[in-house]
Amino acid sequence: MILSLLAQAVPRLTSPLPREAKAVSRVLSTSAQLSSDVAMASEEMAPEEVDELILRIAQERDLGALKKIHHHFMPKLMAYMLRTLDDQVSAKEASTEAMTRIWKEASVFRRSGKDGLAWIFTIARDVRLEATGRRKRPHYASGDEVVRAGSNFEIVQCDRSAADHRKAVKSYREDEAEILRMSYCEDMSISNIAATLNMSLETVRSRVRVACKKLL
Amino acid sequence: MQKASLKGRESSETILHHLDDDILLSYAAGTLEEGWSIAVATHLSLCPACRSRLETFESLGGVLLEEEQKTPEVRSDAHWAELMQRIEAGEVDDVVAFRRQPSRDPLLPEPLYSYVERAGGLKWRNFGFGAAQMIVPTDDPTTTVRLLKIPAGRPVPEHTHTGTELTLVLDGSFSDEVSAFRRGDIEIADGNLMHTPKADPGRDCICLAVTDAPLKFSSRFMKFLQRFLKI
Repeated sequence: MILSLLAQAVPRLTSPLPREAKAVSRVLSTSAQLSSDVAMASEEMAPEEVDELILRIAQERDLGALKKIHHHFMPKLMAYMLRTLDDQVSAKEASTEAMTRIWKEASVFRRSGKDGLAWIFTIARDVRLEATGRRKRPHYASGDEVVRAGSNFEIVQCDRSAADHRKAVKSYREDEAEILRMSYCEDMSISNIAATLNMSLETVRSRVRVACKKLL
Repeated sequence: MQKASLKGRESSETILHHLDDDILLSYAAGTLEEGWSIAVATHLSLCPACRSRLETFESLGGVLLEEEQKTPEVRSDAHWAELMQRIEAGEVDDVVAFRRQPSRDPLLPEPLYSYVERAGGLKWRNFGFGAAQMIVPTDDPTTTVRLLKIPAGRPVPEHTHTGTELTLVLDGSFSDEVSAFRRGDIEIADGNLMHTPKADPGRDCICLAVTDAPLKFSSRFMKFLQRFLKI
């Protein structure tokens, strides 16, 4: 008797509740409206394509290449900026500033030694810091290297590509990914993250180190 | 014999003490405060291995940016038209190749060099026992950044830390109970470490030291001195 009651109850619990069903249909209708704007940009761009587009901007001043970069990254830049800037207007202003720097500074991309995605990220990061005014970031720039006499260790090649890093990030446990997102996207220091997650500083640090080990 | 000649050529020695992952990652993410960042960026000028790791951490930033969910409000076509207008109207400079002049001081790599220049150049202020310091001005109220000169063979008075102290060796070398530090090496000390770093003989040791809280000296005399010297 009890067992059969349970058997009836279980399917009811697992079937979607009406509220959830409504939420799903709302998402679907929103994305249908937006499809004309975002259709050009697929969800992810191959890292090599990003590199190639930036090089075309640098060498040929190719507006078509800039347009592809723009349509792919502008909505992501907006999302990134909106996490720390208060309103749409300043987030849009900052995202546009990042886009113009991509256009202006493409000629130094190759010399920076970074992959294209990383290079765009560093521009976005610097623009955001200037926009929030939270802190100065004294930077190391290529050209600052002090060449040490007689040293054979000047070039340390990283044999991992952007694609490998992407794979590594996807393999992260949710708690590792969460900490990284808080750091990179939410502009939170390690001690801020520890306080927010109610963890000790050491726990957060060791999670960061574990996450880093998978990259290096 | 050969060992002795190698020892004389400090500049060819490889850096042994590097930046911790969490500090370098915070620097890459842009969350590290200015004071610490001066030491990090100056170490990067000296250390090819950490430069390579920085690239990896910036690459991680790229992946996380790529993973951002698109904001539904963005109307790409309208934005693009605006951006094009600005470019075509010549409001955006065509190309800028910014590259700062390399540091003209062999002791101080960038960006430390620029900070010291902005403060009017390197000026030492003695604080007893032949040691000297210069406070490096920053906009960061959470840290103190200073250059320290410890005479060859002399100890830095024994102290613990109420907060964290990050030290970057710029010239000479020092040793504590645990290990030895040469040009380019980073040492991080926190409240758990009671140490007596000592400049190695032969050459004054010059360091960049960043702290987030005052040092705690064991000796009463040093505590007394501290009040006047703001160290």
